[in-house]
Amino acid sequence: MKRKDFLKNFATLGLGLSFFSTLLSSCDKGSLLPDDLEVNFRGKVLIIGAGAAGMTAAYLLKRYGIDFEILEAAPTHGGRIKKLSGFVDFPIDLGGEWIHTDPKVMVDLIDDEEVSVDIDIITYNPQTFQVLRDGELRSRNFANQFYSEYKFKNTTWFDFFDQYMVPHIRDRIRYERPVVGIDYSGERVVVEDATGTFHEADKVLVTVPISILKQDLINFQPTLPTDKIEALATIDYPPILKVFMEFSERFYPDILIRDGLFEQNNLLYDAAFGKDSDHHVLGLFCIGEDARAYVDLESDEAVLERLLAELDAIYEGRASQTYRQGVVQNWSKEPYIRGSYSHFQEGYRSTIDTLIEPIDGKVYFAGEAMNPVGQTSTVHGAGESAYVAIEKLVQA
Amino acid sequence: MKAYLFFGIFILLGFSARAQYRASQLPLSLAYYGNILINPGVKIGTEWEFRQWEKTPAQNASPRQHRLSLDPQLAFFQQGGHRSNFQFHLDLAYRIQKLDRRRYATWALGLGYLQQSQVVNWSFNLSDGSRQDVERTRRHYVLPSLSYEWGFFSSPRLNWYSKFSFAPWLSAEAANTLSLQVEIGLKWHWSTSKN
Repeated sequence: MKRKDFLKNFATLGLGLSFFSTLLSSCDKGSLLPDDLEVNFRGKVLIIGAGAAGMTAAYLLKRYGIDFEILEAAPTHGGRIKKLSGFVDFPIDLGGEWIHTDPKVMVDLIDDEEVSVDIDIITYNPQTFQVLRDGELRSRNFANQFYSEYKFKNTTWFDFFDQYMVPHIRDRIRYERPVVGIDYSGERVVVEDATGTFHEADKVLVTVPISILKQDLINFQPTLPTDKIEALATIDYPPILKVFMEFSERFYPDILIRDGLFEQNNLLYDAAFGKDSDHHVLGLFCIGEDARAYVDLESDEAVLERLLAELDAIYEGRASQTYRQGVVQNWSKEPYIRGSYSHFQEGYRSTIDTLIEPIDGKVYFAGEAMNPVGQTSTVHGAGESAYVAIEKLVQA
Repeated sequence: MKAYLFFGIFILLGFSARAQYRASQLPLSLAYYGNILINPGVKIGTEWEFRQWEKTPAQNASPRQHRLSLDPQLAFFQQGGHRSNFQFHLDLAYRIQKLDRRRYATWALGLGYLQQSQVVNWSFNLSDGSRQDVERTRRHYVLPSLSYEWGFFSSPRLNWYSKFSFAPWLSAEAANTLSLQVEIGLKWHWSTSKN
């Protein structure tokens, strides 16, 4: 389920995440893999993509002593989780930012009692809400009664993976290796990257964004089964953009929503909320149709100019007067991401089941769109999907 | 300081009403108290009746009992596992009941004081998930309220009720907000007469 739908559905019901986090908080830590998992497989695995799912999968394979290699298209790992340091005095999540569940899901993802470190968490419960409708600002603070999530205090989603998983797998990540072909017609799988290099393995785990599969940017031999192609076609993958702007003073609420209160496709938010910082940083999270107005602009400067003008119109010129610096993360223009995250239609559970079904016991799938056991469209959901895929893979 | 001042006002109002209390029954209520329906909590309360009269609106119509009371209540509810709310509320309630029926309805204007304690920053250990609260904040609100209660006497001593309250939360130190509170519970009418 996508972020906005999650908020919309529960907020509309008056339930809010707060209710579920109450329940979730009471859940004990539990392993995502059965204790008696039989590891029958002893070959080599190629993992395509070093995002949350790919890194988690690699981390698990390392634990089971299975040979693997990760082919990552970008020059760094992370995928749609990305960290910006040095902008202000706290790190900025340019990608996945909110923790949409009980943060203790990270204990399950790491599943290692030796990693005894404390992770600082902010209860993200904004107090002041404004909604912009017909050019008029309206206060909607009652939303603070039911909207509550979590964020990292001094770190980021990227740090979590980078500090606790990547050290185990770093030597197996091959950067700048965008995969262009996967041939699984033979006994072994042959993967071709854009440099013309061929890689062989017994199995391959595909964790690329579904945009890459939907746009047919990987040539599968044989082609993907028809039911998978049809399932992919039902998933929307809209454009997204995040912007962070620093101002010398604060003139905005904790959250400014520029579409419906329960839509939240276009929201500006105090990115310094709960951080130990005197800096005033306003974030823009804009996805879907509203994002098109920004993502197709010719440059980041043009995006910042447009957003400043919009803020000036709302706050009587105070944005321009107090503006210090800005940064734009246009995920739609990232060549190996090409958008945001999966937006499912009705019946998405069966769609996911179709997508994650292994092909010929050789090609497996995981990622934010392919989590059959929890939330989709989330960082932790991507990690969970890797557990599901690896459980199948090592038993085959 | 403000909090103590409000408590003082409530207590004085309560004593004032209690001094005039003359009913032979003292209702004691226990309810599920849900802020915005589902943030779970409990509420206890009582009613200090200070005026009661009967009136027959028309010939052949059932006589109706009218009643004014001051209803002090204490509530506690949780929001999201990290916000704990303690509320003291005093309603000025007007109840009407047809004497040949077991149903009644009550409208009330109230004033409450709510203290919210929120864990704004906490940490957990990655090895076992053990959690530690790092920073807590307290907010104080005054809650004027408008309520409607509907009840049903299943016996002379016991009635079930549901109550809906609309309450703005006003604070000098935090953002004002509002909520709809739902209460579902029962009242035990404790006999205070000596015979």
